[in-house]
Amino acid sequence: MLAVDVRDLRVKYGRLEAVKGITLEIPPGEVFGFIGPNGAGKSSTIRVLATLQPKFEGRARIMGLDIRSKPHLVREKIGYVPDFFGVYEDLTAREYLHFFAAAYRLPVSKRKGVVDDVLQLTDLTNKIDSPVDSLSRGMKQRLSLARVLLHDPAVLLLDEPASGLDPRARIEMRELLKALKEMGKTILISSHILHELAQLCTRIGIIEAGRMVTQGSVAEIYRELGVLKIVHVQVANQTPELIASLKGLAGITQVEDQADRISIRFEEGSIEVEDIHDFIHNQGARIRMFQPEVMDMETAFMKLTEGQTA
Amino acid sequence: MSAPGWSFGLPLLTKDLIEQAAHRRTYILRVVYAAVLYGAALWIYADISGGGSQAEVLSRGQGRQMFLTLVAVQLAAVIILLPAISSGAITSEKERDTLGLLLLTKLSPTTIILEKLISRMVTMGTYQLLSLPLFAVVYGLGGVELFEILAAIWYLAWWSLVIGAISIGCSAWHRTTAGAFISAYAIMPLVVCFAMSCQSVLSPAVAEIWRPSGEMSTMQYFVASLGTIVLLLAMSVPMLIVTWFVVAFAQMHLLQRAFVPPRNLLLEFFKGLDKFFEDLNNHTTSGILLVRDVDTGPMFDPIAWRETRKRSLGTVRYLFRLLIVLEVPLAIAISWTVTDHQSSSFDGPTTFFLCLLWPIAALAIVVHTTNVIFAERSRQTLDVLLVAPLTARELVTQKLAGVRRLIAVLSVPFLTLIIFQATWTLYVVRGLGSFSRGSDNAGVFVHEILGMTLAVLVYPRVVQWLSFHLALRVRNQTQAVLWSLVTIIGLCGVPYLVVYLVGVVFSIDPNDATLAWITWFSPIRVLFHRKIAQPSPWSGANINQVLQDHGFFGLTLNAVTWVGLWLFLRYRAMRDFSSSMGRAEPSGAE
Repeated sequence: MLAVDVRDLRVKYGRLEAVKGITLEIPPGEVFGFIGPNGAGKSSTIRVLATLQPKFEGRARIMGLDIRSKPHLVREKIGYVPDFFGVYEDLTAREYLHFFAAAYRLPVSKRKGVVDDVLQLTDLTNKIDSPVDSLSRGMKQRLSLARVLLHDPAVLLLDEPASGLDPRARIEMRELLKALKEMGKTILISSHILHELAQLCTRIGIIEAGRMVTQGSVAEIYRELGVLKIVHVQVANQTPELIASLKGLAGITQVEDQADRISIRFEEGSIEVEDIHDFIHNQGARIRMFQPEVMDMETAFMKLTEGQTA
Repeated sequence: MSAPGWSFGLPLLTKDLIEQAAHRRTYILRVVYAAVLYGAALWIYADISGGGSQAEVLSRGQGRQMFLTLVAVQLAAVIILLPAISSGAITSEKERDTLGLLLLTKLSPTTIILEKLISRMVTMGTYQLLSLPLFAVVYGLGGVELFEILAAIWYLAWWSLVIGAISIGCSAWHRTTAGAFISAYAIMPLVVCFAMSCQSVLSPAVAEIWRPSGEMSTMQYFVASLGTIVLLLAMSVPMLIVTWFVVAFAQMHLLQRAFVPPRNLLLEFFKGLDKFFEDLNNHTTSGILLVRDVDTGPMFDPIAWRETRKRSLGTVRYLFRLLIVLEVPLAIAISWTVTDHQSSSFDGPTTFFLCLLWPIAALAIVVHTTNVIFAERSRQTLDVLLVAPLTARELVTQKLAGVRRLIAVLSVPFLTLIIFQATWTLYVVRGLGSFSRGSDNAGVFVHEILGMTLAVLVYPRVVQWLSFHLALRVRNQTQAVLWSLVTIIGLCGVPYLVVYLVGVVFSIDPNDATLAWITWFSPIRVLFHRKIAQPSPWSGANINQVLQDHGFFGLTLNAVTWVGLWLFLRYRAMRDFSSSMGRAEPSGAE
């Protein structure tokens, strides 16, 4: 049974067709990244799955439950974080979570334990009695995540959860999502921060103008597009011989000696990043920095999309 | 390259006028207003013509009655419509986060305030222009001097400016349109009283100049005209002062309060009172608590819990205070009536209190009910609530828990008043206390009870469901409040309008029983039926005649209509909630 099963989904707002026949299959436990420019149809697709867009064509199912005929059962299976905070600022964090625990009809005897658990998971235990309006943006977003975990949903629908967060909050959010991934949650996440999705997602889908341009694992998309991977390296004792030996390494396409680093380009699958690391180390170089380039995801994105909206 | 040079423009005014012109409601309101204005004029014309020929009507010089009615309708429109149109002028910019952008431009705060004010004045001016042909008719009918018409136009223009400025001032001060709207209506009477008391000193002088004293010579006419102009200008001074003061206030606070977070002033006031009483208790009793305020948190109905524990008008303690605020003046009004042997229970302070309490109650219910939806929208919490596994019925019922409490509290003064009036009528005014066979007191008593039930149980709930229904359909709270109030006024007034129009068209006396029964559709008839049907029950005491005519029939008609409306609106609100909110509900299709 698929956790998320979308077939030929179409969403119209008046004359505007925001989603033009998207098909998605996400098995349980997968983290699926939804990437696309603004107005591409990401939020519309997620809102359909969150039962907040009753008018749509095609088929949409969550854990085998049809959204059109059983939205009330679907709501039990999903946790939805919109692209805004959605928090009551006149409540404390404790009241806020107890509010939703009651709304999700958790047994009264279990609520305190569950609330404590999700607060611990989201690292908000010390903020339990703080008014929500006193929390930072990152904390509010983590509180939103704590909310959706209260009823232990199988599928998490996260609409740009890292939007507007500072780098520290983004890193904290990413770590939290990794923890959820390890807990076996199925996550559908949309974001503009491509490299974070690349690190987190088992598969990604690129959407533009209401259509799915491509979907697959990050490696598959690289391969499909012929995009070169890149590794940035800084060594303490850089020599011309090291550059020459790297150029001679099988699988390496290009080595560029830049002012503060060496940029090594290679095709996906031709050589592993770990092998490059071992090779440099074996050459006697003292590695100060070794950074696989994440921004090539953006190259893929730019290559696939033309910045169109629906 | 040439220098850009000086250029003049009114970008904000242009934008606001274009925005207003793009709204469908602008035209609907204008048509409705024209219908009311011309309907009133037609009614008066029919009244003064008395079936006579046109030549006869013209020869009587009876335009004064129509003139006074038109001025009254215009003034009422200014007082009712202008705060509604103007209160959102600046708060809407704050709500859309566009005020900051405006302040970054070269537009000064004064320019912003004035352009906003002018844009609302232009809109109001278009309403007032509708009456120009009617003023021409009034002048043609005679009985009114040209100067009086010009003075009335001058007077209306000034009132528009004063009320528009007050509304803009409130809009500059408040964070939300609802807050500005309520403040504008609360402040308006004070400012109006100030301006009117200043004018009352000057107005006798105007009357003196135009006192008829035979034919005036050209010179006398010129002097009188000049004197009137001077006095009119002098009468405008208090209004000018008020307008200047309010505009200066708005200009001063536009920047200071551009980014203030939303505040619940009533809640803050109540919390301040809490602290005061707590300190008082600590000083006087060393903190002894007879009843401890325990909050168990959201156990089973979380939305109802939040509505009743976290909102200012929902908590029991605060509602009790509200009740005291309402009951104390009522007790004074009742005492006054009891001690004043010259008046019945339907004259004097209690009826005045009833007249005052109904609009306040209706406004409180409308604002609170519409806020139930728009507070969620403005906080962007609606979506997270809608994905909770609660049914639409549960969501609606719980969301309205605070409103139900408010209605329960508001019912207490109504009940106090109505029980007093019923008792007073039966035992004091009529001097009867028995329900013996053949006595009609039992009938009167049942009549009172039925009327009381309708007033307390049904009408507030119709107001609640009506405003909830409209809140689901419109885009912002101001629109929802306005449409709710307009609909309530319409529902109350349409039966009377129908009676008078039918009476005019078919030459039937509106008080004739063949038509008068229609007025029983209106709650006004039920609430004030003794007052309307029998101007002096104290002396005549023939209320039974009223009842025999169509009292029980009328009440039953009213009850069926309004209970039906209540149930219909409730059913529609429950049914349409999900579709209006964009929430999927189970369908048969797999």
